[in-house]
Amino acid sequence: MHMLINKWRLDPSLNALVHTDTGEIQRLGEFHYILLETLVNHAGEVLSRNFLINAVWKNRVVGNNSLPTAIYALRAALGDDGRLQEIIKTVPKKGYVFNKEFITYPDESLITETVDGKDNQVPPPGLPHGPPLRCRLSAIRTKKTIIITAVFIALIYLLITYYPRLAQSKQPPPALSGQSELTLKRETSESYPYISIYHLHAGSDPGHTAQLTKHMPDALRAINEKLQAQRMKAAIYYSESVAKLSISLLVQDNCHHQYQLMLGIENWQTGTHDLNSVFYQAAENTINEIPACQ
Amino acid sequence: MKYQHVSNLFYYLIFMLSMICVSLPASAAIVRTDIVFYDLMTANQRSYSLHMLPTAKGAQVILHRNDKAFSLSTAIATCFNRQTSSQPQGYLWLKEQSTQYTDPTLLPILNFTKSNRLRVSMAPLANAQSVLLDRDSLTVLVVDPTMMTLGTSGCQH
Repeated sequence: MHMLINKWRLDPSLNALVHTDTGEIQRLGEFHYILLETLVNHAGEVLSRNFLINAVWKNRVVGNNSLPTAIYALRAALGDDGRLQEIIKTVPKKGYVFNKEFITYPDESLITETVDGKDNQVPPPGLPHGPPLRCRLSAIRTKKTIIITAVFIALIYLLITYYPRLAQSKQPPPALSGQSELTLKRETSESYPYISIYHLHAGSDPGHTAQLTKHMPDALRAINEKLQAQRMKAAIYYSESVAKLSISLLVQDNCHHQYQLMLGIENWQTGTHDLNSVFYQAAENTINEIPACQ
Repeated sequence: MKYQHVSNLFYYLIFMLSMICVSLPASAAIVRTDIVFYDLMTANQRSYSLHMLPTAKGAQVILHRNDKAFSLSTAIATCFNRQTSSQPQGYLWLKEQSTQYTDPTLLPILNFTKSNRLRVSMAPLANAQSVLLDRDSLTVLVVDPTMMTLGTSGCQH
């Protein structure tokens, strides 16, 4: 069974490579041809220099440059780039390895070569030719370029993202105590299905559990009804002290636009009725001013 | 091929990033913020419109009082230490304050912020939004990336 290295057929009678399409013949010389055969027969394996010298030149005395020179000649004949080494790869301090992906079998050429990308699989019998060598090399180089570019962009992104933090780490970070961490507690109430309520509290005092549903049931009920009528929903974030109640009402319409009302009520514990009234009126104004969703 | 898995992964990532970018405009965004201050004791009410645009260090803020000509323009620098906690704490600095006319009710906070930073706690919400609690003035505010940059860039003097 003849094998092809891309479209080059090994012709042992001529010690040459014969192009299957053009008929071009590249004579390799006896030792270069044996070297190519040895590499191909052990494709995918790293062959040491001693192994190759013994296999090719047997017991002959050869110079140090004989093997590298032969490898160079084979690469040139096969169109392999000495820098990229796609077909015959130099493994530093180990030897050389022939890339089995470049080997095809012409007598079963109606079947394409493996496409699953498993490097350790020999192409099964009947695999057809791959694309021309130059195209394949070009494709590999393009992918390499893309991958290198992607890695480069990722590095730039990471540098841009983290450099300010790295720079900032030289400065003293905000020195706040753990007591000031924000606690976000959801207050659920089935009475207001269109409103989500969250209580904010800086610190870990578990006794600080003001409930908006207890202080403003009337306002929440009225706002809930208005949201239902307008087919909107809202989230309320609030925090309180003795003197002030601070609320952020976030209303969302069907277009995913949100409208925020920040409400600060001083002396909020003065009267429940007025508290409900102020909150509802402010919320109503905000909801009424929301433009129709287009 | 040797790089097929890597390149397929790369194409997959590109595809996913594209999908994320396309879906971003569908996320909720805060398009308007109204502020109302009310004193239940005196029945005094003030209403403002708040406009915020993100900057590299924080935000450019314009606060306009609805019933008067008063307006305040200021740059806010944010300094949050996100690395130490999932709910960071930090500061807001009000810089380059520029006011048109006066609003006596805002003088205390404006004078305070000229020489003090506002201590702020933050908690992340959905849609890349964050809820801020200014512990000095006890003010709750929800912001999104179209309003303010929350990070450490503003920490530098």
